[in-house]
Amino acid sequence: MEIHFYPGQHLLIINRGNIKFAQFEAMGGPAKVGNDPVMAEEPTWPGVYVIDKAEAYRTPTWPTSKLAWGTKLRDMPSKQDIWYALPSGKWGSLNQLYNSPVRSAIMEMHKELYGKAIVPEAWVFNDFGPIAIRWFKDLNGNKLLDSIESLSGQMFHTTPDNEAETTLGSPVRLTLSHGCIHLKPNDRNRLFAIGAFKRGTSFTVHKYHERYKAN
Amino acid sequence: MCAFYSISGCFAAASIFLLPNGERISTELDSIDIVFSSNNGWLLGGYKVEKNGNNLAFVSFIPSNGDPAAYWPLDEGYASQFFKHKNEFYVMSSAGKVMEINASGLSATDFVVKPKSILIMDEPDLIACNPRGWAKLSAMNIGSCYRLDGAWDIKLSWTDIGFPPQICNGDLNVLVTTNKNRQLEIFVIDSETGELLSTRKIDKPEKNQSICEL
Repeated sequence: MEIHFYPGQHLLIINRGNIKFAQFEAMGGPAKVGNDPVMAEEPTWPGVYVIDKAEAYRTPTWPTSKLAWGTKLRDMPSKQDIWYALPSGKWGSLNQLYNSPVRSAIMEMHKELYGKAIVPEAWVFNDFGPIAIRWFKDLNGNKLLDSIESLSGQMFHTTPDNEAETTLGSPVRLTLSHGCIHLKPNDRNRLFAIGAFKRGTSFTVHKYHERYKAN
Repeated sequence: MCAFYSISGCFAAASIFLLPNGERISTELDSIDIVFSSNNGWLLGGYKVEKNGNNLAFVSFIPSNGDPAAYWPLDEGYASQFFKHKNEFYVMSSAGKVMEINASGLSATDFVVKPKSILIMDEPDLIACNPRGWAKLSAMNIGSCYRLDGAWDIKLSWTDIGFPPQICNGDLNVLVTTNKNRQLEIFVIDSETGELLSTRKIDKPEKNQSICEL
């Protein structure tokens, strides 16, 4: 199985034995570098890669991605706080994590996404969605992440907006990324189901001007 | 901003809250996020919980003379900050509105604020800042600081809400994050003119530090 992404067409093609098996809408970064001061938007870099692992991604770069998707929450209105589950089984304070009272802001974010101002039972704001699929440039050709190889900072993932749209049964509209490849939540599930994200799968990002031609 | 401490659950229409000064108040609000002492009572910003669990944002006034409390719902956003300016009391909402608070309720003002702003200075001029949106794909991909009378408005990459801008020795100090090597810098800005006076690079601050200490 091979994955081919055509960023200029927002098109993801899955081949089996050089024959198209499935296709999906998917959206990468812009064709030219953008101007986000925190992290400039960049093209999804063309090249041949190998799929490595899938993980609930976290990063302190983006405030809402400090917590993994699905982290359990506990509303603490009398303390004007929200607690979050720590791996140890104890609870941490979101006010401490953010060094600021955030309960109202969290409820407002939930309202913007799901239409209801509540503290959700689990964190649904991670910018990378429930799971991110990572890839790497296989420099030594052994299909293993080793030697001086490292995971790309670009990855397949869904977005909180698209997850909410899917949950609510609304139309899912993909948006340009900072370089990652945005998938629709149901498409991500199908891609897993057909084995496209199996470790070791070959993955090609084509150039923006390249167009997919059916065999 | 002050802290409230609930000493009873929300088992009835009224909840009892303990004010920072030790006074107990009864309120219809189910939770309270901000409190402000006014001339003749307490201003509260909080929520009433609807049957479906949705939190409706309210501003409430609890008169100190024992008169009944007043409750005013907010159409958009939540009460993010109270402030006093030229002897009038105001509430700023997260949606970017400033409303004057008077006996008859909340009335619109001409102050122009941006969503998610916090007021940094209330006398002699009103200065506010708004951070970059939290989400990676936020439509607000840069923050700003500005005077509410429109005298100046500058874009700044203020991203860390844990370190809000502050007035230090009369000047506005803002922690700015830039793309290049995750560099942190303090921008010192003339609060009257908005002119950038200086910048200095800093290490990552400790959580309990204020901008003026950096």
